[in-house]
Amino acid sequence: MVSEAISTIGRGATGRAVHPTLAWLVVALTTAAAPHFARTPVWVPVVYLALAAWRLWSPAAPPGREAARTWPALFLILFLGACILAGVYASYGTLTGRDAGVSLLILLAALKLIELRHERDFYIAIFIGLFLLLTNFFFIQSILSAVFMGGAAVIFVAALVGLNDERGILGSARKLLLALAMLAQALPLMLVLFVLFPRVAGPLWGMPKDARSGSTGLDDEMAPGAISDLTLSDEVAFRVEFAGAIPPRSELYWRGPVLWSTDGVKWIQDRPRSAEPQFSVQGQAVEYTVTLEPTERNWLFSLELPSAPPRQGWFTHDMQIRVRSPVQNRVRYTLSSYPDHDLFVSDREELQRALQLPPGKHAHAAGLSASWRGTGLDDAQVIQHALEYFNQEEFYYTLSPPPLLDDTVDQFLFETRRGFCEHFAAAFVVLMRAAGIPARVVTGYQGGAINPVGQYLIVRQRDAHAWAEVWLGEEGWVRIDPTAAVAPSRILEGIESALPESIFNVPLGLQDNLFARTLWERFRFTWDAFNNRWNQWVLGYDRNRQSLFLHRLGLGDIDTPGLVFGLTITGLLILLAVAAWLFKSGVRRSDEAKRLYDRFCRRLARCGMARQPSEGPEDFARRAGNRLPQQAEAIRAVTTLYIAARYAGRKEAMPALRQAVGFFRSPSNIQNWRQAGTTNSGRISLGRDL
Amino acid sequence: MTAVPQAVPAADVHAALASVIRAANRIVLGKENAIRLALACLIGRGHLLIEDLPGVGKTTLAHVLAKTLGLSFQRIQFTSDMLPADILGVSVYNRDAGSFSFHPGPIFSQVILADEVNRATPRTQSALLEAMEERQVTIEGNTRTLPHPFFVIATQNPSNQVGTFPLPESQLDRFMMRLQLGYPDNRAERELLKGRDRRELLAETGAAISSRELEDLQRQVDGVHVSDALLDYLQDLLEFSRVSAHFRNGLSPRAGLAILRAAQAWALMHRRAHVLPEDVQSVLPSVIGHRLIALEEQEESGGTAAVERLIRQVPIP
Repeated sequence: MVSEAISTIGRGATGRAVHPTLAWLVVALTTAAAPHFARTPVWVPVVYLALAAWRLWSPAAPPGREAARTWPALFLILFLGACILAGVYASYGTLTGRDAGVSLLILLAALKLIELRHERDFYIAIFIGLFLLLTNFFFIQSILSAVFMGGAAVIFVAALVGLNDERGILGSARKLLLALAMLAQALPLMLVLFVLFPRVAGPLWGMPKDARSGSTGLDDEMAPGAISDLTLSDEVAFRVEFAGAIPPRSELYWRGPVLWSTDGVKWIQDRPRSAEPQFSVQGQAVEYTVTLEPTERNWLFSLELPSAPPRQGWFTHDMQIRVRSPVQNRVRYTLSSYPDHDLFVSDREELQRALQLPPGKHAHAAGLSASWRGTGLDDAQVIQHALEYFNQEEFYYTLSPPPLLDDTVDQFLFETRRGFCEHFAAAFVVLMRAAGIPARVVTGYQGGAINPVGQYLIVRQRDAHAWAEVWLGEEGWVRIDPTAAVAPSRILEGIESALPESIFNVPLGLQDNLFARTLWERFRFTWDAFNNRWNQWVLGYDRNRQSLFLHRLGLGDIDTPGLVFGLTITGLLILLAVAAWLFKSGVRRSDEAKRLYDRFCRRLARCGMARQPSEGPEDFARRAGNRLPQQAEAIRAVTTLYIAARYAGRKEAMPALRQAVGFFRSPSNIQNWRQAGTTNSGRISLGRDL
Repeated sequence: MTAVPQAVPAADVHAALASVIRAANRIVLGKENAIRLALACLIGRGHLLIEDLPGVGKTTLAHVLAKTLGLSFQRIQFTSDMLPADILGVSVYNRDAGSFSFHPGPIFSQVILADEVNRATPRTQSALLEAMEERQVTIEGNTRTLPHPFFVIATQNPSNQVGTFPLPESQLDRFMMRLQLGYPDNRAERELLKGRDRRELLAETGAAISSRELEDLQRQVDGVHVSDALLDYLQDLLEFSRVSAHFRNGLSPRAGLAILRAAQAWALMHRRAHVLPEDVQSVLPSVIGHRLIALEEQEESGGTAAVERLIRQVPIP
């Protein structure tokens, strides 16, 4: 039907064949594919757009139905398909996986565009497009992308509407409105399914291996510049909701990897060992829930120090929280921490390792701390002295320290004296170890921004920080933050105020305008609060959230099979009710006379005499009679009976009509019909009024 | 609509109709279809609007219809300085009787030939149009019924001509049909040029049908059977006009009634006691041509082409 449509209906003065829905389809597919274009090799969008343009502006298929059916030739499509397969393989080295698969899908959709022949092809192309649209979620799941994809879905549905608009009477705006209305009608069902559909514990299917890559975050080793690089990133590391009041900023040390050994440049972790924590706590616990963005790493962050690891993790000997597999999805965990604590360690061998320095390095630093020791200071006094040293000598806290070429610590301590937290932490630990005080570097995040809109804390990558821990016999491990000695505002007010460089995403021109700046920050907080809700309740709606939510609704006791069952039954009942309503209001009475007449028309159509849909029975009988003079009498008779039964309200003509159409099987049966007609000739005149 | 089909119409009524058509054909040459449609409009109790350029025979056609139908007949030539009282009538103080007496205007007759109706001001037009819809007029507080049957045959020039007040859509809607005559074809024109003066012919023409016969015909139109299948078709047409992007507005329910009535009359004129889709298709251009405003064709023809397309695009259910 559409093949005819393509080759006939749309053929305007220009002689091009354009199906009315084609433009819609191309626009919809392009919308679905466009976000991928930035992620695929350049040739993919080029080929896609070339094929789409070919479809839109190609010359018509050669006239004639048969030609239309085989245009473009099959071999051409097969050849293009083979080229595409080869191209994707050449670019990715594979045909499967997320990236290669999406490229392949885009190109095959374009290929489908150029072989649109039947109505069926349009439907297939639309469904391919809808799947393509969905694949965008493999890459990005933000609110904006969801909104964008909703818009694209509207275009797809509008294309479907256009496909079913057989009379071609709907304008573009009306198609879009109808599509919107239909999607809006689907919305309640979608919500119900989203809320109630049983969640399984793991993902239903595995994501391709390459689905996660390139996430930024704190690494498991530290070299100069590692953390200052992170500072440029505005990305959210995690968000924290506190059960009570948010503790003061100076207590917000989010503990991450603890680094033990150094080669003089790089600091690395110990192999993590599980251990029972040994610490004593005082004061009030702080309860909070962390929602950690995917890190691809095996650890979780906690406020120092948590009393117990979360459900999914365990404590190491140096009080990190480790998890079994890298964090690939947003993870949520609740902890209760004591800012006021004493941390102990069980192992003497550990203290030994906390004193090791790389052989032959940091000679000046060692000399400096040995000279402090030489004056007879005890451990606490040495620490104090070191902090004063940082504070009183010409040290600067800066995001862009000069490069350190040979001995990083010595050079930093005695030449450049400009550094970021990792420089200070590393130098401090080296000084401590040289003075015989066990010490280690702790990395993590410090501070965070309180979102006044959602009343939670946002910790961004730029809050990444490094500090030190020293062993003070009786008191155990004690946190010392040398950065605080140089730039107290870093700890008290956050990184934004500690750095002179204005790097933090205030649009140009807003920096000097306090009001605009406040407004901008307010907007940013609101937007982040939105994102947080979205992450928590849409993306993070898992089994736990679901049961929590259902409990709140008072539906908590329903088990999963019961849920599925109830859902199915409810859905069926709703569908039945809707169907009943539709049938009652919209569907016409079936009409036997019409069915018989349609059969008669189909038979005539087989003789090459098709009735136009808008052709009345009398007109058709006249035309058909002229064309097929031998059957004119029979056609006349069937028409007369049909008119009598259907338009003149004479139900008594039905049996005769049934019989007449029954005889009118094929031209060869006319003879039979004549015989039957003569035996019952009286009924024929029923339809004639005069 | 489910009334029992009427008995087959009496043959003499059809003979009378045929003679009306014959008489009209003799005077208005080469316009048989327009004459038939006009007649269908009148026996369907509708008012008729004939629109075309001056000189193609609008007035002649209106005249001949009135005369052959044997009805009392008044012609009102509309001008821009005409007042409603010129149509409706006026009360004049009678000094002898010491009271006002009403002098009925030309509207009180069975056929009004409202010539060049769009040359009058809207105020005067509306006096006529109220009478058309209500079949009664209110003058100085008294409501007076108009004679029965009551037809208005109006003629108008295309509204882009100088000195016209185009009828608004709401008033156009009151005419069941609008006919456009167009130029006669070659043969008819030759005959016209060779033949006698039309006015003489008109004067010779007498009534071909009695007033009673006309009323009888009108009653029979009411009795023409309309099946559910036909109503389905009619509703599809109306629905199409409403959802289609081709028209500015859809057809009103009044338009639907007019189509039905005209199709019934058309069926009767073709000696049928039931309406066929073909009847609807035959009358449709004249009945809805002035009601539908096609979006693409901005010219005044009012989209007969659009109506043709409407017919082509709506399948007969």
